[in-house]
Amino acid sequence: MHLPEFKYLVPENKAALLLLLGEHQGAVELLSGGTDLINDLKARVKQPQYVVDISSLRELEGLSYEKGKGLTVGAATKLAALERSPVVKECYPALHEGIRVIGSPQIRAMGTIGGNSCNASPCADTPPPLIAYRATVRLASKRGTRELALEDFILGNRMTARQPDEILESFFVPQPWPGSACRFSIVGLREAAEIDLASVAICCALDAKGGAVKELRVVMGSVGPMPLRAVQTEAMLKGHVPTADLIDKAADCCAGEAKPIDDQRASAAYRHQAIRALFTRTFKEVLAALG
Amino acid sequence: MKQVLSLNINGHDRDVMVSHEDLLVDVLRDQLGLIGTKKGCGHGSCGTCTVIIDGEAVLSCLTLALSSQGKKITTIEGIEKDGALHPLQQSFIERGAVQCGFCTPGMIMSAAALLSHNKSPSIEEIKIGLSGNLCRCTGYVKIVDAVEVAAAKMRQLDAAQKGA
Repeated sequence: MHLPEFKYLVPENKAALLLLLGEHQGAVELLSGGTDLINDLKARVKQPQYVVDISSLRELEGLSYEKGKGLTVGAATKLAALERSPVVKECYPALHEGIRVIGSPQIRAMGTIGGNSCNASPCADTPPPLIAYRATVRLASKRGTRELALEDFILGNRMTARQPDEILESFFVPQPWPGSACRFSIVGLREAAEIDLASVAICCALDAKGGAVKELRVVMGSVGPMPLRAVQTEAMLKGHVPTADLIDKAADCCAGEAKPIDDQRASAAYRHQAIRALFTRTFKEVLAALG
Repeated sequence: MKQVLSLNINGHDRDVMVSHEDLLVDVLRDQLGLIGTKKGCGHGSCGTCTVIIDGEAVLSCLTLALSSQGKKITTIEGIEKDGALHPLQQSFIERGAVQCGFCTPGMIMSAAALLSHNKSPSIEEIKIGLSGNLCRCTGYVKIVDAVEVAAAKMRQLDAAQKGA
């Protein structure tokens, strides 16, 4: 399978990249890990005039963590680098799990955290935990920068709020709520190199007195055109002690909030069931982690 | 449009003429004659095109040749030393880990990258390390076994070198 013709460009730095994007608006595809783009080029899903390689721009790579504030991650940071990061593993275990289950070691060595959101596949593994952690993204163009919540960035199947002259520069993942725990679980057809048929990320903090749910985010993946917040489920649980009976009702509510389709991986009916089971399992794991 | 590209492959700088849209796997096989690297699925699922770039096992079927400029590329042809097989190659032969052989170069490159990050992987870690490489002769048991044996051999060699 050969690629369609394009012009390959390597900007020297971020400023040059933003100028290039301003100049060739709409005619450019950005190349970083290439695990999605090269396949889209092969399939002629994308036929850009220019492929702009940003994989050597160190300004877009790396992570820094400030205790109490949060984690800043450059969009072109490799998934494998984040998987090996002790900070990600210890402070953001649900994100670590989302990275661990992506593709294969080779895909994680090539692919980037930014690409996983920018590609905006409904079954991407990092957006649900990132949204559960209240992540925001920073977009840059020669017009300036702007920040928005990741849940407002991913707009649909392969659709984002990124304008043609913009790049996704970095993610900011705030310090998780005090006394909270966060977990992410998936259902796939096999262990390795699978594509999820449903996933659930849950972040939860309990009231120190009484144990009622104080803060909660429930995010579902692969059951809609984009990651979906289960807002009714969140509202049902907030302010209440999560008894077995309430968790059971919340699981039904969560399954009802999913908007899955039938496709080659699973039927919509099965996905509703999977979400119910995943919600229950993941919420119990969160409660167990909270002690 | 073609241009000259200088690639560092197996420790040598090699100049090739490439188009902007040429993939690394095609340049390795068709221009440089390094046909140990195989082309399987062509979309990053089977792992048989795995090479090591700057210490990481990556897929040469999803890598543009031009993106590889300035990086150190190692293929299956580059892991032997002075005519002696790499311990992984030797143990694949000894443990009967090769059947049709099509997946073998990719398996060995993934295993080599794994062992460079983790000298004593558990069986579970070996399985994860090889999870991006498919063998359709279903030879996984012997392949995992061969990697375990090679890891032990390499630890012994390391210890002997340190002692010497």
